[in-house]
Amino acid sequence: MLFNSLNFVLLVVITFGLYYIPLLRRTQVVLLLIASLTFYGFGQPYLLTLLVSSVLINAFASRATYTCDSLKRARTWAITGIALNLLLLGFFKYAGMLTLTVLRGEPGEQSVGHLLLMIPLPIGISFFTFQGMSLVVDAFRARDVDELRKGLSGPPMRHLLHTGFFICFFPQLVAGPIVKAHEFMPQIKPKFIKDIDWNRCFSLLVMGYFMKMVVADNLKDHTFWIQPPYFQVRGSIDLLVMLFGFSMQILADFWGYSLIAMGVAGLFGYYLPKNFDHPYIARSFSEFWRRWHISLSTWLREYLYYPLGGNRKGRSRTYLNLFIVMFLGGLWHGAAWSYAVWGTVHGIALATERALRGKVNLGNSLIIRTIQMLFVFLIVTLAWLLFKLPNFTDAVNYIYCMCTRWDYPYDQTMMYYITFFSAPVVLMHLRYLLIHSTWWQNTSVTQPRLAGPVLAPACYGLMLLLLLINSGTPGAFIYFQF
Amino acid sequence: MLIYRSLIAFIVLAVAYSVLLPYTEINGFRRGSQWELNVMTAETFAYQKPKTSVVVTGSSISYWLNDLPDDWYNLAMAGEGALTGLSIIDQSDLQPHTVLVEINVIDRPVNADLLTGLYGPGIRQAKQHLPMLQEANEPSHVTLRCMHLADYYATRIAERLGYDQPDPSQSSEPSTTPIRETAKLESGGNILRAIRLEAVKTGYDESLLTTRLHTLRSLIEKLEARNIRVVLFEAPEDAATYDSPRRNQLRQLTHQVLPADSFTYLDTPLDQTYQTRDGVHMTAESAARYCHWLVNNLPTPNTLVSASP
Repeated sequence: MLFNSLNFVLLVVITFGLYYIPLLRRTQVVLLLIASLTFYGFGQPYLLTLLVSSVLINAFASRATYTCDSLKRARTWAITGIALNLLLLGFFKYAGMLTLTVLRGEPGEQSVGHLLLMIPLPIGISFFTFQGMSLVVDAFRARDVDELRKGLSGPPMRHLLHTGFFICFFPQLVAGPIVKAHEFMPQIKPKFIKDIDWNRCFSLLVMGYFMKMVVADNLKDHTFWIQPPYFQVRGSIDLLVMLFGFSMQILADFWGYSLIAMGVAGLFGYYLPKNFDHPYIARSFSEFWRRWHISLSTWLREYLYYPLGGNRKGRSRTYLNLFIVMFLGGLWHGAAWSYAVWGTVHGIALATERALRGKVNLGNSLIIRTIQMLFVFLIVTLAWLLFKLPNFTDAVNYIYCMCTRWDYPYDQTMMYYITFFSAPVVLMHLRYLLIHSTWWQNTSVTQPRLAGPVLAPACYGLMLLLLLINSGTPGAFIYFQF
Repeated sequence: MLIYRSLIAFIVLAVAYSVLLPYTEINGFRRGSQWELNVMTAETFAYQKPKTSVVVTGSSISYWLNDLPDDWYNLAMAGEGALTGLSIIDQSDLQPHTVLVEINVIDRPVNADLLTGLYGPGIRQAKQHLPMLQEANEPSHVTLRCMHLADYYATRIAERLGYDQPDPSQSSEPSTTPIRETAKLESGGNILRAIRLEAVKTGYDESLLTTRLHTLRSLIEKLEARNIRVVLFEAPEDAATYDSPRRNQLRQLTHQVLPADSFTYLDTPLDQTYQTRDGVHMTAESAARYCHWLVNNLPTPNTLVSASP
């Protein structure tokens, strides 16, 4: 079920109506769980088997890890739980890729390889598996969070219900933000309609739907031509503009999704962490990862980078750890080697940046900061190409065409539309820069109010109008495929 | 408070936009993505109900037939097939005397999303009464129209003031399509030609194609029941594409499901002078020539023209 479908709106409205009926307050979690299973199983009910299996594995493994009497046993249970999660993820997500890699080609129709290739990719598996693993690890670490501890040691059925709810909560089930058990579990308690922050939910939902339906869905129709063979007949400027458009599209698409998820969760009294923070103003790759898909990068840092040793085991080990984390982070995105290459590019960039830290001082002037920002944006945008063209040869060919066809004519109309629909994303970044600039402190110029009593409602009014009359053709969220 | 103020802002902006919209119109000015252009074509046909005697339906091959007479309407859509166009006519109350059906591409199904967006419950009425809901009136297109209008008025003012008169060909006329077409023709056309030629070497899934042809037949019969004459035609392509296994299979099956003694066909001009830019789509010059050929060779009503399979 898509966030931008009528079915989803109906589901939210009906669930919301029942959720706050005082008589049903004791069943709020059950209600949300039913809504979540309806959301996930809508159209493909067989996928529920996998989701329920994941819930059972994690509920059992986390409880066994927490309640057993020795550290050794706890470790064994935790490792078993994580291994089962990885097995599930590996089987459904990577079996096809590994089959193709090992066999070096398409297997015969009667072979096991063919069967492995036919395995469907369950939507959101990467997200809910990571959440499940976070629960098992948090149980092993026996986090100092009362509600989490009570849940793990309380009645088994209650723990099963809360685990199911934590993993399946529909706003973040299929594309995040990835929530950690110790952040979410304490929030599970009775909710009241008077506690809803309506302004926050309204602004998150309007902004989220605007980013998805107006920006991303319209850009999609113009960046469609990035795919082969169409890009092969375009000139450098067209290809550059389309790549820029795709960079804006992927941000608007995923940021929009995250905002909608936060807004919907807010309606039910739950707080989901921020997933994006104006990533294209980042001046370094480490800053980029503190601003892009924050829930994934913090998950990787907490549950992979630190356990690998982080930066505590010497310089070369730090570089290696960064590289491993980004390589696996790349593979997490998709079952294709191009995603691993994408992760490798970011891994190398992060390791290089770490190696140069403290050795190169470029200063902090406006020009240097702008150049740094543009450089990071350029590399990040070039790397996005691997998301649009998973075939590595196509991506290389695209870059080759982009670099060599400066004498080709360009498509002014396409440039106009990509500029038009990218403008909101660019303006959001500029607004952020203006608000957070320290320049105002050193001058007598008054800092403009960018969220005043008139401007903010006018912006939301405009976004509502554009949602009504300028939405693009509905498309699936890019991150759904991961 | 934010919510109420935002809703008030929304209403004010919507009213202002509706009031200003009529001042931004430019006759025949159409820009957008392929999908948007298709929707604009369909909405103009369905809501503005142009006075039309002949309607052309088909795929991108016919989409480029721009030099048709004023009382012909080109309902062909890039990325779609004739079935979508025929369904639009079927649900419309317009009564053209002839509908031309391009049969080069028949494997594409009826685009249900497009039809729902056109004739869905409540949508038709809403779009007819609130023009700002129509595709062509989206702010992204309107802004572009305003830019062209500004350009036009700036040119006129410059003329009046006696400044250098710009070359008319550089004015508000579309600058992109011919340029892109040239680029494709000169450089990329061969790449696409090779890819398309490879694709037409294999035939269609026969059962799927037969299903589509039966849908086509039922749509044609519905239109004929409304006294609309339907004429099938195959637009010229490169000889290699025209004689490919896919096209031969299509021709054969079409004549099986829609026999020439019951349905009207228009012969395909096979004089080899029609040029394509990628093996399938005619160049602007050839498309213009083919338009004239179509107008001159369209059989008069009640005349059957058979074509060999």
